[in-house]
Amino acid sequence: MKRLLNLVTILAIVISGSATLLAQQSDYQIKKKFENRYSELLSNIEMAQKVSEIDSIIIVIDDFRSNYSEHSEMLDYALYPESFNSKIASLKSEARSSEHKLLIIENQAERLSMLTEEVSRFKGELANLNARSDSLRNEIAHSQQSEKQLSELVTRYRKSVEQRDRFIFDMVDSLFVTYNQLAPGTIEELSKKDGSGTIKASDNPLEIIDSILDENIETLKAGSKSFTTEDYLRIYALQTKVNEVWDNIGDNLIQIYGGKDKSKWKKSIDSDLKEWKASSSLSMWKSLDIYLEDRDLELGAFDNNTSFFMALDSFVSKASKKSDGEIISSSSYEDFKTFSEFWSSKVLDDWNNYIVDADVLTSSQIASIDGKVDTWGDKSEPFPTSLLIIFGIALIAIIGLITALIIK
Amino acid sequence: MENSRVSFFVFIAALLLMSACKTFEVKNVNYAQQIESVLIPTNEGVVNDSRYGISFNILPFQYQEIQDSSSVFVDEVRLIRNSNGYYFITATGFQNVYVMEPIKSGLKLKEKITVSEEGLKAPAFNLRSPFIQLIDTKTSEVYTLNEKGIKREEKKS
Repeated sequence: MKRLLNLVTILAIVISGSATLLAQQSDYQIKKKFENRYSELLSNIEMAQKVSEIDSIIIVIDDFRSNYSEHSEMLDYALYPESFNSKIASLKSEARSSEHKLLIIENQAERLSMLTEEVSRFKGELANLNARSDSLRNEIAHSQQSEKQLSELVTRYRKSVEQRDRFIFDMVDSLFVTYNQLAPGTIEELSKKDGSGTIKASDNPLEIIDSILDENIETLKAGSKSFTTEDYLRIYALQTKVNEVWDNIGDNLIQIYGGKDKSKWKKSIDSDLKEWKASSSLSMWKSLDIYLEDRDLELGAFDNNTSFFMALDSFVSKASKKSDGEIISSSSYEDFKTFSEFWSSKVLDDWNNYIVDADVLTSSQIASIDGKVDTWGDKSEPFPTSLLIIFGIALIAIIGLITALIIK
Repeated sequence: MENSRVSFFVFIAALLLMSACKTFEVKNVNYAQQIESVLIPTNEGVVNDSRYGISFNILPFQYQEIQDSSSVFVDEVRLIRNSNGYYFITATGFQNVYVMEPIKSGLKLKEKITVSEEGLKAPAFNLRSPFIQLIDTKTSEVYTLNEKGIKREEKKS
């Protein structure tokens, strides 16, 4: 009986052996082939650039599973402590994770494409605004017109520059929102896409930023007679904003659009930003100083946030202290009214956004000065004349009454 | 008389206990290795199968084949164990499969199975319980082996 069983087993092996004769491979070879194919698929997943590629790989993984399922038992043993199913599951998990990542990247690429269109539009709009401002500036420089007409030209020029600055504010915000939220790994992917020519050089945001900086440096050089303190504050605030955004997204932009000239771009934009900052800062503090001098508000020297705050604080504190000794005189009160006019209508109202945005004064510094200005106002307000007359009459009446009583 | 009777019972009890300890064994142990191990010898000829926990020197086998153990000529050693616990060992160029029985700190030749006069070109073992299948993937020759020898030989037509 045992011999019969052995014979049957041998026959079974021979029959199955004849099938395997066609493709003689050992279990070890099957295991090696499985492992090689597994590594190959894993590599394909890592190298995939598009979601569609991953979708194809997922189909290939299913075929891979079907092809090796007849060896699953042997593979479970051979791959221990892993198993046939755990290997397939691991491949699928990698594929899904990669698909998720690529979906994000493709969305980012779509957003980037939209932004490129937007950048292109920005470029056109900016060119129009620059051309209009430049034309007005030239017209002012060569004007032979009357003072009134010249004044109108200057006003139009200032409005044109203001409109351009507001446009740049919005554009820089848009750039920030888009490029500051790029998912990890996207920058590398996008820089590859840029290299393949997806984004035209003319729509390169770096070109636009560079042109904004050049144009603004030029505007500051040329516009010294046309601009008001408010214009300089706005330009300074714009410069601060562009600097902040560049600090946040500059490296990403250079990585994506810098191509082979990454260090050249960085150097150029950093240098222009520095020049714009120095120039806008100097112009703004100088203009503010002249504005205050014109109103006889002698604050002393200042050329930055700290010295300006200290000058204001010292001025208000001293004036307030001076008011302590004046009860009837109104000279201190006149000083207060002049300062209060500047403080309320300009610092707290017209210029407030620019002052806070550009950190000319911080909100807490403004609040601190504001409290002292209120105190100064209370102290310096002269005693009303009508009250003095009433007080005088009352005093005379009391003296008269006392005198009459004594005589009696 | 009484003492000799007690001694006799103690002797019988000890004998029974000893025989019980000596005969403790577990039957139907399956030693089979589901997939062959492919082992690369070191410069000294030592192969180590970390998964199945066996390490030995291939030079004695090489000597058996070519009567030279001055240096290692074997590139890969093929090793598999059948359900009875015998190791089947061969390598490329070998004419034989060595069936080795594990002994205390050693392997003892159980059977030397000659499979190829010219030497195997690319041997590989598969477990096809209760047998071991040897295939030469170059020549497509297939041998069905057990610890006693070749049970069947197939050649690709």
